[in-house]
Amino acid sequence: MAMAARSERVTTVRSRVHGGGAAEARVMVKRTAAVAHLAPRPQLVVVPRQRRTARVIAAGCTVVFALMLGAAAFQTQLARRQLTMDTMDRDIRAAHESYDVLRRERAELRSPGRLSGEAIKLGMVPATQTEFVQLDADVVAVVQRSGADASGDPAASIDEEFAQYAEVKAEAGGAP
Amino acid sequence: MSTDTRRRHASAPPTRSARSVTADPRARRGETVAPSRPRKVAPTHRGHEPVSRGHQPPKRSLQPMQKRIKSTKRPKRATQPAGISLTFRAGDTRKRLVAVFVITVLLFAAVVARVAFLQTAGSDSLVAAGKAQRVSEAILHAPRGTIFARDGGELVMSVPSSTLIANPKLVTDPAGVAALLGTMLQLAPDRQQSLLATFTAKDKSFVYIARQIDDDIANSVMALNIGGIDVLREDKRIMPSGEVGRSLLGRTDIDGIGTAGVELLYDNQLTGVDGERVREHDAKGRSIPGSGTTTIDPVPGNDLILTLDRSLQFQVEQALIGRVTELSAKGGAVVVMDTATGEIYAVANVSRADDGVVAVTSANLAAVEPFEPGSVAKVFSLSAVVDTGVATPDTVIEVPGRIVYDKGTTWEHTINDAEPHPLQPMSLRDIIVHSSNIGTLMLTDEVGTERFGNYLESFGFGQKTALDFPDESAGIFKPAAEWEGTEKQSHSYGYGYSVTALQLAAAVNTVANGGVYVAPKLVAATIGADGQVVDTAASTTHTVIQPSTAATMTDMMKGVVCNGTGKDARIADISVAGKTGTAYKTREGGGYGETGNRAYRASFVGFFPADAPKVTILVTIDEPDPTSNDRFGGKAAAPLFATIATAAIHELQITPNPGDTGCSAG
Repeated sequence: MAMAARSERVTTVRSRVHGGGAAEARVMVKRTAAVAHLAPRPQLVVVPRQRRTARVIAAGCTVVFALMLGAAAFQTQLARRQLTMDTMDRDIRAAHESYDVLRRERAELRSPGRLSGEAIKLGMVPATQTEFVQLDADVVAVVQRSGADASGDPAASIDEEFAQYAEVKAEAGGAP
Repeated sequence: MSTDTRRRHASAPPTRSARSVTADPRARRGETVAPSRPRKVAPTHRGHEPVSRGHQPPKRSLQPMQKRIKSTKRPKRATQPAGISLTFRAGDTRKRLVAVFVITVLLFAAVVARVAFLQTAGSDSLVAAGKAQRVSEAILHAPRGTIFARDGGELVMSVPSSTLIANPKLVTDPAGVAALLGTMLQLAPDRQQSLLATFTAKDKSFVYIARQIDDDIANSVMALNIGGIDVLREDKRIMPSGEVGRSLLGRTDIDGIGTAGVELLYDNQLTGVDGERVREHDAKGRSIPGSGTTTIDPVPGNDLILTLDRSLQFQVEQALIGRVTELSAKGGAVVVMDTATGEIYAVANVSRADDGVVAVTSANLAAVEPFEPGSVAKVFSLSAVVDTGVATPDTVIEVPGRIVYDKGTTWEHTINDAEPHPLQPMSLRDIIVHSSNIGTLMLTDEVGTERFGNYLESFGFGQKTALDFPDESAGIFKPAAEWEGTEKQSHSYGYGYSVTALQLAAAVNTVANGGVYVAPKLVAATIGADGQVVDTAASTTHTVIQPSTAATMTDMMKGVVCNGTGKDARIADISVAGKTGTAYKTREGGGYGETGNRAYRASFVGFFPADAPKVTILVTIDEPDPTSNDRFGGKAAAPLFATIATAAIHELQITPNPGDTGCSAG
């Protein structure tokens, strides 16, 4: 209610100032001063708009924000990649260990002691004699023509085995 | 503001504001003017009397206030000494602000100074502490090389294993933890006590509990989440093929450093170069992104591809164990080598333990234990005889059954043939076939001591083999110029000097190899860190006897197997050349003992196929049962030679040369 009344008075004063004479206006000014005393108005100054500065500031803020966002994203990527690298390191170590364990198991399975034991379980006995038989040349020729390795040279497969091992070692021999 | 205050304010003496209200134009015009709202004024410290701006309060008005302070301050202090009055007054704000500013500046300066000090002079320790907290420097242990057999099978390799460690300072219940670990790990009582003492003392932050144990056991311990107990990964050296080649391969200590055998001999090759990883990590051990990790990759050790055949090695060991057991012998050794290249296919050493069990030894007796070769040495004596042209296989001499030297003196000594016989004509072939000591002695005497000595040296006696095996013996061999007394005769039939099994096998292999000595070889190739397979250099060689001499000796040695003392070494369809030897062992205190009180070393060395030898085998049995008829080389060692030769034929796929029918042809 008080606000409404004040507004009404102010309106009245303005209409009289614009429409009345000089003496009347003086009175009105005095009255206005009394109203102003009740609600002091800040002294307002017209400030020229600085649109360019605002734009520069806005752009700067945007750039800074973008940079910060980019840095955060970069750090996130960095952390993610580092995590991936750590995981890969662990995987490599685990694979290396697994490789060694498998080699061990294979060596144990192929060990003469185990083979001998298994053979004995099957009722086999070591050969104590050797008997050589002469093969007919025609038979040898037929075997060779079929593409089979008549020499039965095991050295080739052994060399290949060493080559495979060497290849793996060259790639991962020093892997932690 | 209370109503009383307003009322008092209304009756107060007129002030300037009150006068301005009276001067209100409305009031002057007689209009009814609502009493203006009393201006808010700052209350005095009493909170009662409004004080108008610009008005000095009357001096007397302060007096009641001071009186009130005097009367109201500390009213309950009855013990207040009389005559002391406290006066409070408003402080100087400016001074206070200056003081606060100065104090703040001083404090800030102190902080800045401290920071400056920590950043400069006092930074080392803090930098180190921070670095130690977040930077970890881990040694990346280089894997030790694998030792392969020639067939590709792993003889020795490293595999990852678990090692339990403890930080005693973090162990809260030393007795309980020590007892628990002792039970779970089956620790010996003294070890358990040691752990308890360490846990209780808490003067260390790292101690091994059990190294290189099974992962399952380590996992069960770790599952208990015992404070201060942790697990590490360590490489463990294992022999996946069991005890095959154990005496030759040797061993490492728990840190993977070679201490015996091939592991020691090639320790530099097998050992790699450790790497290092430096990284920054957070509290959970995760790498700090972007912090950078410095990694120096470890360089793995070289792998060795030995000349050993794993399967043949196993069969040789098993056969030797069986033969030593059968003969109630003390031990034995076998060397199997490639005739042309000197590559060793198998070296077996077995001995009987105190509990009577015969097993593969950890010591490579074939390289470290010298013995007098006995009649096997006649191969070298008669090679010298033939090579120098003193005699041919068909040269016949009169050989007595015994010879007495220095008769009637204190140096008198008698030499007998193993089989008593009267004076009889014997050809060179007969002498070697029947292993006549006296016949050999007589012919070698014609060669000359010095020349004969040179032959023996050229056969490799008195010097270590090219293997240079750890603790390898060079044997006991004096230069011919130093031979004295009976040594001049005894050297011809294998006494007066000692040789190792490796030396003996390599020497006989010279005859098999056409008169060319080829040094024994154990490593065929290496595999480097880059995966390159590099063959080792061929064995060194030197000519000892002429090829024709070697052929003659081979022919006569075939006779030993087919018609002489080595018949049990025969193999069906493949000719074998060899020589038996039965040597008396020296007794403690000197001498060889008397009949019934002697110890023997029975040997057989031979090669096959005799016409184009591929494999040379030496078998020596240490102290077979002296009461048994199988104590001689032809009975104790020759059958084992045949067994091993058969296995070698199978494993190495040896076939007879065309026209070779073994002893059946002769």
